[in-house]
Amino acid sequence: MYHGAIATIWISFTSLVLALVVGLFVSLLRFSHLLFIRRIAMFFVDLIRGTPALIQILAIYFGLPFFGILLPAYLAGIIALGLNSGAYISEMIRGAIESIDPGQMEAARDLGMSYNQAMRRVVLPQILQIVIPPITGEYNSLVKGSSLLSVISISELTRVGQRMLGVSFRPVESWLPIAIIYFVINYIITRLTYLLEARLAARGKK
Amino acid sequence: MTGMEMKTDLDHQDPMVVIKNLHKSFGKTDVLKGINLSVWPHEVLGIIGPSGSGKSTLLRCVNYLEQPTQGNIWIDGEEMTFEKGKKISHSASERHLNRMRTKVKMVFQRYNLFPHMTSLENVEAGLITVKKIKRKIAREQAVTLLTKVGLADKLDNYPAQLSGGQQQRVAIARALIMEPKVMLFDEVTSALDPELVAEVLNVMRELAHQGMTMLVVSHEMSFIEEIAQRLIFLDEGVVAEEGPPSKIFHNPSQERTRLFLKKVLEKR
Repeated sequence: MYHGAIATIWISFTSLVLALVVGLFVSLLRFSHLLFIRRIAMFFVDLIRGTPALIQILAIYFGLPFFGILLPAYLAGIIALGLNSGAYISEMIRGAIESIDPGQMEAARDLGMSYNQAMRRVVLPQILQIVIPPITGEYNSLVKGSSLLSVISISELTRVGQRMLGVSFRPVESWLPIAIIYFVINYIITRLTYLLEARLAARGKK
Repeated sequence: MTGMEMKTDLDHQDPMVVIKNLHKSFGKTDVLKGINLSVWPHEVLGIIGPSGSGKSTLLRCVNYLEQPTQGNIWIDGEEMTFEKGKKISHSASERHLNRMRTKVKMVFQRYNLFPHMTSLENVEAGLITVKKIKRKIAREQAVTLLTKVGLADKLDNYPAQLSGGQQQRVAIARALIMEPKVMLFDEVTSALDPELVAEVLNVMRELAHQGMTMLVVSHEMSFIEEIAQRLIFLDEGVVAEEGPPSKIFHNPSQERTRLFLKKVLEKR
């Protein structure tokens, strides 16, 4: 059970990191001046949101070998979760960017900054506080969503629970501790981000 | 390159800004309908007109926050041409725009300071990010300029901790540090509480005295009359009247100018 918990934490964390990279990248593509790039980004988001995460995991784990790409289960699982979560995060980041006063971009461009410089120095630093709460929520669902990886036989928490059940045939005693561990992991994540938010808020008021 | 160097010898004779047959439409609405205008070095040009007459759009075309539909704009010898229906390639126009923008700086009605940066960081941002100047040197210049606009004691304050007048003075310093040839002022006092207007106007007056070329859109009629050498009255997207402020304010030749001034001056 200890190893299962570690695996769940590790998988959800690495998936989150991947999701943040994917999310930022895709959200920036949504603002491209080229229509077909915006279309591709939009299609990616629609595709992910329109299909079940379970099927996405299976598609990557069992589908990629058809194209000659053989991935270890762990890696396939993290990529699937990262892409899935990345699509949702890209929408959060896009919304946050759109909520920033257009005058900010104008002032930065007027100073002579390029679009990219203005994004990096002026717009993106301002969305940090806005996106932390929804991304925390996304992290929580990643922790829970990583249970789906049990279907590709990764021994994370849920898989461990299944095995315990298989041995003991006692569902309550098998699943209750698993549920409690999920809860504790998410509880800790939420509390930690509260701390982070408070710290960012203090920085702005200094 | 040599052509440009030769030109600098003639600088004092050439206009700083030339606008020819400038059109701008938003969808089906024509906001600017053929503006022709020259601004001379060290000149302060006042721009007045009813709301919706295109004053802000005109300024925003000069620093390319709006892309004109048609027309030519020269700034300090560099030209930008816009033709109807013809799109400028994105990367070429980006490069050109960035070069042109080094010559013009705008001060906005709503200040548009960067809220996550202190006054000092706001002012030095352009030097560090755009001109790639070392932070230490940039900081010295930023301190000098903020002192000049009377904010030596607010260097480390964030915009949210400053009054509107103070924020607008930071914004002016942020523009000045880039050493523009032309400054655009887009109704910079109209978001301010009345008692804060004077401190911003004083900074602008000082700038005018130092010989900055300025295009000033404002509803502060007495201030415009005081600092502008020339005034244009913009109405429905065209320059309806042009002349020295004393003439336009006291003896306008156009009926619509007279009506506008009557309305504005009555309010006071």
